[in-house]
Amino acid sequence: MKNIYYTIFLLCLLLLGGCDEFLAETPRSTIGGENFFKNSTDAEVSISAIYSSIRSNYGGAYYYGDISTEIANNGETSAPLDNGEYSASDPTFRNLWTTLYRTINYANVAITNITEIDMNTELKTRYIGEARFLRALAYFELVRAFGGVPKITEPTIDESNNSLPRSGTEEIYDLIFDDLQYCEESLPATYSAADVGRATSGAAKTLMAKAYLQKGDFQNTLIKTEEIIASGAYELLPYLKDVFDVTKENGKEHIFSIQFMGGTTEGLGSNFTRNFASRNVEINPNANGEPSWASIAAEDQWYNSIPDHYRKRLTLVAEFPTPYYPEITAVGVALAGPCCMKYWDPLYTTRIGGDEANWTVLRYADVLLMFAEAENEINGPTPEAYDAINSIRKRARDENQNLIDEPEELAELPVLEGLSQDEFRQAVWAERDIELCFEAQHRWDLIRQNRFVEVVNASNIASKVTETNRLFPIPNLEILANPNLEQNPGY
Amino acid sequence: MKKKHYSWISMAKLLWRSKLLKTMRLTLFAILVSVVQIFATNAHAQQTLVSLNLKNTSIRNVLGQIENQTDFYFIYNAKAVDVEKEVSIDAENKSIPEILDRIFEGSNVTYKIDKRQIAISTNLAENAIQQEITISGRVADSSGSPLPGVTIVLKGTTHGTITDGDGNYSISEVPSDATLVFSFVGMTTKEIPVSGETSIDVVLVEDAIGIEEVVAIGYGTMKKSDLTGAVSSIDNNKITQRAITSLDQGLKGQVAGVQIVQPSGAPGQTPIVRIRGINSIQYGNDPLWVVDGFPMSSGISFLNPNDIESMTILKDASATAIYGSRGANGVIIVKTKKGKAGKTQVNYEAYIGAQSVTKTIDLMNAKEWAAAQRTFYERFRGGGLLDRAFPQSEIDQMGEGTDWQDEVFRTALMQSHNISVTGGNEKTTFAVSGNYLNQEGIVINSKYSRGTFGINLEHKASEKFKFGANVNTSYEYNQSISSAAGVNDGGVIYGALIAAPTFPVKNADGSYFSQREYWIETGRMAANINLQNPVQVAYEQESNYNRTHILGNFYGSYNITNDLVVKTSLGADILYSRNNSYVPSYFISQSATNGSAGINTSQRFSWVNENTLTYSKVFNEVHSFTALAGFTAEQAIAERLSASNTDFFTDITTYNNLGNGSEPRIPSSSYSRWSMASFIGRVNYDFKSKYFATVSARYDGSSRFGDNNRFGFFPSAALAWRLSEEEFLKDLSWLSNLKIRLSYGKTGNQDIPLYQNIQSFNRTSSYVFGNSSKTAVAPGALVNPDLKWETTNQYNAGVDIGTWDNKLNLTIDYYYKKTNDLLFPVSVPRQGGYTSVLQNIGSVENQGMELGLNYNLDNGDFTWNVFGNISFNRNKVLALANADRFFGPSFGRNLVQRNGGSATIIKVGEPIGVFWGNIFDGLWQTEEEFQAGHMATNPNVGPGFENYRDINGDGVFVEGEDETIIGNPHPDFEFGITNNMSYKDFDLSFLINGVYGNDIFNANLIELTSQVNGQNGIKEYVNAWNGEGTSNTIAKIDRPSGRSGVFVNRVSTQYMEDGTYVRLQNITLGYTIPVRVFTKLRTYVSADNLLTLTNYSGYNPEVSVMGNTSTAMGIDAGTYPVAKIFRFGVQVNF
Repeated sequence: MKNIYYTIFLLCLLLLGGCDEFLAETPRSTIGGENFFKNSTDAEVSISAIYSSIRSNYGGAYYYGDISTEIANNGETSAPLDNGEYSASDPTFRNLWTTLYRTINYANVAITNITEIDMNTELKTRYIGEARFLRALAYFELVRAFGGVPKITEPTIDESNNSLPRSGTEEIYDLIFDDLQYCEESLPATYSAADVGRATSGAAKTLMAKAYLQKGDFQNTLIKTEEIIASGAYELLPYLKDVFDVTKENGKEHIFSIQFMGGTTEGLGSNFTRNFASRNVEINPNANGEPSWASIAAEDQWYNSIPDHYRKRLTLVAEFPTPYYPEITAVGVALAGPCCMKYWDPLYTTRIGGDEANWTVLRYADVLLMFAEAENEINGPTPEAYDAINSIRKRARDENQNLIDEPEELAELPVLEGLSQDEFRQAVWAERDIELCFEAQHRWDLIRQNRFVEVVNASNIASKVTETNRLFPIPNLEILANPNLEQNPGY
Repeated sequence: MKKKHYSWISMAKLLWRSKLLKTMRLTLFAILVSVVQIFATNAHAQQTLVSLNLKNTSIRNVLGQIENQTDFYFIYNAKAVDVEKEVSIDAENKSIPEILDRIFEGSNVTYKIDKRQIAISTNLAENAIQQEITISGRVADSSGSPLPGVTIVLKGTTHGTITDGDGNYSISEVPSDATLVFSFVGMTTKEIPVSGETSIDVVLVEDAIGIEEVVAIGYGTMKKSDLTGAVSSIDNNKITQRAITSLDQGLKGQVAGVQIVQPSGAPGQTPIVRIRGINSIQYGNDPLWVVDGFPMSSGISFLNPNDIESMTILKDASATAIYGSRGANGVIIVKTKKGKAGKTQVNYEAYIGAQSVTKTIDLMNAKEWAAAQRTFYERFRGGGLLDRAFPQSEIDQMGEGTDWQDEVFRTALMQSHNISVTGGNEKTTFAVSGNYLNQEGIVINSKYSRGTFGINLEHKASEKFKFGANVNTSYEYNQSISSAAGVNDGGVIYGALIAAPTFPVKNADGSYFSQREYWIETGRMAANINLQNPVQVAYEQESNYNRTHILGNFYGSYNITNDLVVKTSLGADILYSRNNSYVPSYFISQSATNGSAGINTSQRFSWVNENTLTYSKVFNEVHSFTALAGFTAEQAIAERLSASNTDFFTDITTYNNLGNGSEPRIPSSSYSRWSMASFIGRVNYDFKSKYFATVSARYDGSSRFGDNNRFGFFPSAALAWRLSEEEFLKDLSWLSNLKIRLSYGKTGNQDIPLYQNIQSFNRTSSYVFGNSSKTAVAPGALVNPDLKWETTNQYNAGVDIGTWDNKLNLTIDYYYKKTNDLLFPVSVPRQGGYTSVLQNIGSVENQGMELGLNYNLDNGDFTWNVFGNISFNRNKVLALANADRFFGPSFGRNLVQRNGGSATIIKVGEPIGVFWGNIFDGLWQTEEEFQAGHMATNPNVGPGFENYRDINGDGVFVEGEDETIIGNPHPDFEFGITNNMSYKDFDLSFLINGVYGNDIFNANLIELTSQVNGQNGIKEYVNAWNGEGTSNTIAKIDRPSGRSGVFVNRVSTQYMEDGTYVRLQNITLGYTIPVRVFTKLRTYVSADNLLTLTNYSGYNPEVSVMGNTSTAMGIDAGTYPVAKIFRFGVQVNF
């Protein structure tokens, strides 16, 4: 009988010995950490995830860039930034912060791990370049929104990255320029058709120019914009309507766009058509007959202040029908204010999974206007500066799309000439306001031009803004979670 | 000769009984007549006249002739009475005593007439007038199963016998006035006076307190009297009394501390089972089910309730700690029926039932609704949209219109057939059973059906070694209807509530009426244009599942010595389930997708190996030890596959041919596995059955936990003292049992998400390059290597009191549970790229009291058992992850648009899932009152509209700020009363249960009291506010411009209702037909949910649209109502 006890005891020991192995389960339907980043395909899909992450930032970029200013409202409902209310507990700031830092972590994970993969060097450099471009873009969005933010360049694998304090603004800009310099050299100027939509060296230069301009570094802005213009890689599309035609996306003028594709069961489309359309069921019913969402509309005060010319009538519509959009046959007034038609996908009611409209982050018209502005600041209103701004204006008044300046068009939007440096500066600013409206540019322009408080408060905004509001508050929940974070002054 | 005499008696009795049988078939009245006949008296013997003319015949023959002519019969001892003596008699119409006097004239023979029985004896045996007879019969338990081994003794003697394997016995030399004593362990001893009967069948009922009852505990059994923990048991006949489809439903109201909530009345719906409250906030709160020793990880709806012998509910940690990291939510041990040695028993049970909805909700009829709708459009936007309303001339012509509730509800049939065969011999026993259940739902086109097959076999290979196997298999099919709520969600029940009564179900051409088409054609009905006809949804939108389940367990045990038993088992549980759905292309919701079909399949396989060694010995006759040690290993694998497609060119093939769609969705599949290896140990000790101690522990290793916490230790200890065994209390004759119990233990809940401890990369939303979709893969959640089970510490104190031979028993338990290490996604600074990490951080407490009171009466013909129980539980959140509160899950039905669609919050210091919202203070009655109030600045309110309280007292009502706790879904207490009585062959039982003090959020009311412009509303709407003082509940029929934006659908006290109810769950009247052909033949009529007393205005106060989700209980939104069921059933044993 004793033998039996011993046998049982030994059996138990044996079983216990096998326990650790028995209890070590590995997931099979998800990819375990140690099995990933083994080859170029792993690298490729990890890069796609960074694009996919930053895409969610641009779904609502207009809220910060346009609705927070005098040019747009939040449609029929009111929202804090529309009213000039800046609260550290406003969840939208936290969403912005979260999306951008998630993108940064994805980029950091990709950069660190792809470096270790044994693969085609050229492709590897390009992938790392794309990751660094997107990281720079995310930091750029962060730094102009919040000021200096924690600088994180390593993947987060435990909580050590979670308690870093804010770095200085300069430090963040240095990181951005460092990343983008790498991109200028490592990214191709163009891609084959299958890869259209990826970051290019031109996009890196453009983003550099924008970052320099945001900092007020006109010298470097000038250098970068000149390089882009000189490269000949980009040009203005001859007809303004083509810039926003969903069938002509990723054209010569589109330097970097967030890519959306309607009509997929995966839901890869955007919601821009619905968000920018007027809330008027007779005008824009969707497939179910519901009214559009109308999350943004032009403020009447601002709309009425712009001279009435072709560009305005094309991009902002107050009443239907309109000759520019003959496919909309219904009759009615856009309810919350004129609606912006830059993201109009005529087929959106029949598409599943969202509409086709891309979000253009960087476009050549912006480069020309940045050049004009920087050139004027450094060298005064030179002929090159006039050429740049007037090329934009020429296209903007070409209503009949014959590329000829007709007298009535010229009267509507004259060629600029003989301006003082300051008048030229004002002219570029005004040009940017209308050319780039509803493209999430306006707020950042107002801030760098030091006229944010003045211009926004001149509108019928509910709460007046102050210099404090030039920066967003650091989300209070983030400060609560990481006591090393300091709040922006005034909040 | 003598033999003949007795067989005659038997025949007479048989005749009598079969005569009764015939009368039974006719009327109850006839039975009474028969009963009266039985009570014929002595006087009868004088009046009964006999005519005899016999020569030189034996006395025996004379007696036989008398028996032939009358209903009298004779009892005598042939040794004492010389019945062979020849006599002659010629009698015409003489009484029996006259004849007897003549034939026994001159002898010392005397006789005694007792009713129809005439005992003949000699004076020589004067002191034993009574004849010594042989008695035979059969002993069975209350379910009709034979009881082998029952001891039968003559009272006051040692003369006796025991029943054989078939429960039959025969005992000779019994004086006819003797009394037989039938006794059996665990059964109430029964004394039966012989009264000359020679055939006595006895039914033994379980002992009042069942104090000697043996109950299943984890990995063993125990005498109930020796229990140290809080353990309740319930046997089959109490479970199957109601029309239940799943055996957990049978626990309802029957066990103190066990809460059973039927979240909806849909057929096949399994209830929510909670033992002593809710421990976990985020993860599992279901108890662990252990079926024939197999710990289930896939539910028990597949089991046939008739196959269940008993269920034992382990409540305190002393009882559950042996299940370690799975014991925190309590354990329910299920034993299926086993075969017994002896005659093969066949048992057939069947019932057929009719079900109907218990109540309907009063809604406006066509005329009322159309008038209200017209009022709305007259007022709305200055009447500018009045052409959307029905013209007054049409309204005047309207009547009741369509009663949509009537259209979707029906009287539904339900039937169940169950057959089981049990038997065996000394070596091998078996039980096989089959069951078919078919339940139509009370909502059209819904149903549930199930077929099961079970087999239990056990073979004793030798005195020491036995082995056996249990197999249960089932196939379930469930066809459900959409129960979504919200205008556009296409729910059948909600749809029936809101569909406009002015419209028909079908058009003249037979097609379904569509409000949307009507709107398009006529321009009337602005809202609800997406409402699909609910009758059409019920019939044409398909949703069903089927499940195949096999549970098999093989075991063997070997008695190494008399004291030491080794047992090993290996079992497997296999579940295959498949969900199918199809929404036809012509449905409104499919205008972009053009038909969508989906199939989800899942397969689960788990195996368990258990090895235990049990040692039990009594030392010096006073120290009793039982020790258990064991090792178990188990593994569970789950695989899932889903595929769906859209854009179908035909609606004919539905989900059966996914290839007929042309816009496929990305298919998905998954694989997961978890493993456990554990050591278990337990020691039970008692001293003189007076002092008891139990220590148990389990050491669990689980792959679900993090690398740094792979093993958990779960100990428990308990003490009990049976005071009634002490000398100072033994003299109290009325006190039969008094025991106090104390226990403490630690248990866990490992029902946490898998693989959270492993770094992973997951596919994320794709990105578009070159106008085509490209795969994207991103890092998964931040890993926590310290992840572990949720831990519950539980203290229990209990007392058991039995009085008057355990006729009246009371059990009281108090418990305190504190659950720590609750798993939460803890917010982390998002700068690292993650939003949260799972951590063991939260804490919840439950404390409560349970009372069970049982009364038993057994007066031979009349038995009465009443059991009442009441449970109080108080739940409180003690700590949450870096927040003092968060919202419960959205019930996502468009009905609540604030707070992310949630109606509940989880807040430190409050019970889990209290309701959170605004306080409704009636309607503003006058302009002056409104202007002076706290909502004056709100342009969307005014006289006739809702006044929501300014809770924070800042003088103005602000959305999102003036919200507070407005209700509690947890009842103050709940109770159950079961009552079983029988008188002779009749039995009557009923079950009442109720809850008190819980609140229900009746989300149906939100739109039924506010959206009259496009959908129907409750009847009270006709009394909507129409000037000062006209109503304080139903707002003015109007909507100030923009009101849709501000007065969103909300959680508010105006939709909170008291959920208190008392329900007659079941009442059953049965009659056991005494027919010898069958061992038992019982018929019954039964009603379920016959009566519910409640103030709740919805269909059913016992409701939970979010089902098992503990953080959003007590919400009603389009929930499937419960049915009232009338049944007729029959039980036959032979």
